[in-house]
Amino acid sequence: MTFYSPWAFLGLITIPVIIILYLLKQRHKDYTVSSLFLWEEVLKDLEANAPWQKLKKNLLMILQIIVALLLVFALAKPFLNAVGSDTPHVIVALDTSLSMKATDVGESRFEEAKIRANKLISNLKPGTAVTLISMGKSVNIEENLSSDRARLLDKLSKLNASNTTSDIEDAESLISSIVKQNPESRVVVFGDRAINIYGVDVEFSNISNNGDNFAVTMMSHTKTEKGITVLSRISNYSTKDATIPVSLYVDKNVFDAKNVDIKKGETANVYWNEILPEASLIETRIDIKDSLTMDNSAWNAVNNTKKNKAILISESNVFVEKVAGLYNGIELYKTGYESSDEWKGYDLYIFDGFLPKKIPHDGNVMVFNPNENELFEVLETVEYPVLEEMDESIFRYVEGFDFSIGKTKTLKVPTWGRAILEVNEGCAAFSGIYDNRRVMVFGFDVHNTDIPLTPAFPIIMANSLDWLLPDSINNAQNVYSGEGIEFNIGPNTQKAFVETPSGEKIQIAPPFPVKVFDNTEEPGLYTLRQKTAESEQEFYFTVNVPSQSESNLTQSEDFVEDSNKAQTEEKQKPVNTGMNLQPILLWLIVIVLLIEWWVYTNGV
Amino acid sequence: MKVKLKSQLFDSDFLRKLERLVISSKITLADGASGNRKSRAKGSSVEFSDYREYSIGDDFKRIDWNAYGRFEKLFIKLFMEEREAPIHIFLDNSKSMDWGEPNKSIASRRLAAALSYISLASFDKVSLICMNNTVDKFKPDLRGKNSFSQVLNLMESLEYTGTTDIYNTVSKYNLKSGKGISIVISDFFTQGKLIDMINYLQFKKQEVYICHILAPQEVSPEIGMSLRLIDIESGEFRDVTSSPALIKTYKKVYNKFITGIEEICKGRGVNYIFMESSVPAEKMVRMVVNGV
Repeated sequence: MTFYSPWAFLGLITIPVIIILYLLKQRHKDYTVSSLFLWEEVLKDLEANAPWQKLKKNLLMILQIIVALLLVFALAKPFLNAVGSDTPHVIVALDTSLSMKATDVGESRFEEAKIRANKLISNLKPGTAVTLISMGKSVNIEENLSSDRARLLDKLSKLNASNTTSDIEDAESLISSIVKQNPESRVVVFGDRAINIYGVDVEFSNISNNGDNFAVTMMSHTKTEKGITVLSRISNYSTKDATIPVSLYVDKNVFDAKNVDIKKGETANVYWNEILPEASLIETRIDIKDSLTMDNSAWNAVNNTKKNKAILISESNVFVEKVAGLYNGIELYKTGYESSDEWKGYDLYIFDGFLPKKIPHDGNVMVFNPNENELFEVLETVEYPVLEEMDESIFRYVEGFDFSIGKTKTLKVPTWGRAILEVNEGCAAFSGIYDNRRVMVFGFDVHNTDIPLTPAFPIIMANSLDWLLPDSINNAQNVYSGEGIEFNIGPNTQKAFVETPSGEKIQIAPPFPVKVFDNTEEPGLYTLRQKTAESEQEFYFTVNVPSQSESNLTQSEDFVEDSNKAQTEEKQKPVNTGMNLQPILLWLIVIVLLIEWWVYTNGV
Repeated sequence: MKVKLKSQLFDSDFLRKLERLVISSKITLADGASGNRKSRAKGSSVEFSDYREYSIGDDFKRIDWNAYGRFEKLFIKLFMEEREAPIHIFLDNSKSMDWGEPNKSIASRRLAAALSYISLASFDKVSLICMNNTVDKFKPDLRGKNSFSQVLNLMESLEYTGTTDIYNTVSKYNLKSGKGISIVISDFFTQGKLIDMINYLQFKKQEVYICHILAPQEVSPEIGMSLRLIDIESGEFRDVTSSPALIKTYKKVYNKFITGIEEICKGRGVNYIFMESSVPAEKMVRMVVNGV
């Protein structure tokens, strides 16, 4: 037991004061009675009935002395020491991943973690510095080396569990580096997955009751001739076999429902066929109550593939024409050099051996064998250059194909671009984004190379067109809550918004270029709206919870092998908290005061 | 009735009420004999009845020496015995009686005076004995309404001192033999045995009336906070702190005290009359006369 404010013991001086006051107060008021005859009997009787009657005279005084003593002790901040409570610095880390939303412990695992952390922080000895860390998708230091108890508890109370996976590695390295700076640190982790940091003694407060959970762990769709086919993967993370009712919602209306028998710990594939191709939002939902509700739904957005309009401006380039015409999603138009004024409204302009003085205002640009122009500088013509370096993405899959260039112009790479093909004489091709438009320039005419004669040509063209006509979203297939999304905003877009599942409209552009959009905490359907001068384009994408990694609430028990389990348990030390006795003493004071009041009013 | 009023103790209104009481009230002996009737028995009163010859053992004082001068024989004078009720009123004038609101001393003196007046008016012989731990003052053998002024004088001049020891004091008082009535007026806040006093009085052929007077504050005390209770007689004190339990216990003890006296009186065929000092004197008298 330690007293952190021993000066409070000066308050003990109040005890003799109380006694003196009582002695002064004890002077009874004189009252003459005719006879003590009856009173003697009364007092005898009272003493007979309450043997401690003599004490009673002073009972109130004794109670007040007790209150004074308790108050002095409370002010002295008594603290019952526990193992580890002497460390000057405590790192309190809370897992804020999705699995912490499970309701198998108390209100939820996270609320329980907060309660435990609150208890730990409240009972730390005064002056102990606390670093509060939340471990979610990103690991954040909420409070660094703070001794302000109220501030810490306030920060703690404001923490919320997220819909993301926690980045355990990041957390481990962060904690490890903090411990390196403050070697005398105690690390306490509240979560459902143990953390092991080499050389650091981690106290782990396991918050898990191995709750039963079912989850939609994957969902995807394909368009077929008969409509859309959806695949949903349903996992049974409970301890027994189960029949799980699953429904499919198309555009928020029930489309079909099935009962799926899944053995414990296993996953089943559920197929849904013949969904109308006009559908835009498909949702798989498990209609059963379990420990974690967030992972009982998964969404897929269906976007109609948009045909990009491309125009080839060429005298005659059969190679480019054929390859671009085969490219999926392109509607190719062809024209000669003469009608340059009408070039408007295309998504891609392919200039072959010619570049007009006035480059069109809209659409992306692909150029072969350019002439002098304002956009970039053409340097010189070289013959039989040696190929030196090729861009990885544009020349992806073409290693091993040997091709050579007979004649090419070297180009000066503008500040907005980067070289994609370099020869010994300089840059032979570059790409870049200029004025929100993608530009790719090849210094050679394909006829002056043997590239079209090799299988590499369609691959290079496909890679180039992929880059020039990107999807609206780079990584639209598997977006999990909290993940960032890169949007490829169309060149004509003036304004772009994202509408979240709850209907919030978030402007993402301007400014250009668009930053990574990471406001994806909420699972469900998101809509990207791009406004051009003439029209508005909608693109749907969905955000799902990372159920594959977070839905298994029983991980620590069933899926850990026995030997590992024992090891884990050994490593999981229970959290030792010291005990701040002040609140207990204050409660005792209240109780004693109540007793005193009762004694006073009832005159026991 | 002309009485010089010395104080407010006995005002004219009180004396007027006494007159009315005489008509309606009379203390009687249990066998029905009354004080103002002559009896056939020969006794030692002033009224001559007969002579008889002296025989050995007769009182020398009663020898009629004139008759001896004439007849040279010893004759004894016989007198008429008066069957009047000798009434003894024992009034407690210890310090404890001088207490309460209304004061017990006033109530008890009024009661004693009223009883004396009624008795005198009925030609009874009244002895008034004021006592504390000893016989303080007394007026024996008062007869006739004319003696009432003596009663009043005694009452007016009575001082309240000393401690109560009424049982012993009564027992020590030499009562004349013969049937009579003894009325004891006190608060009975005293050690000793009431039964001894009653036994003594009854042995002396007394019909006993116990008039128990207490102040309302003694019946239900009003005590607030911590008090030092000081005995008015002895000066001894006890410290008490007011509480419901204290009052409750007092009530218990008080009831035990009253019922104790009541039961003794009932067991011995004694009239027990309890009255608070707030009761008017005439009502007290009626209570005594009717034995309630």
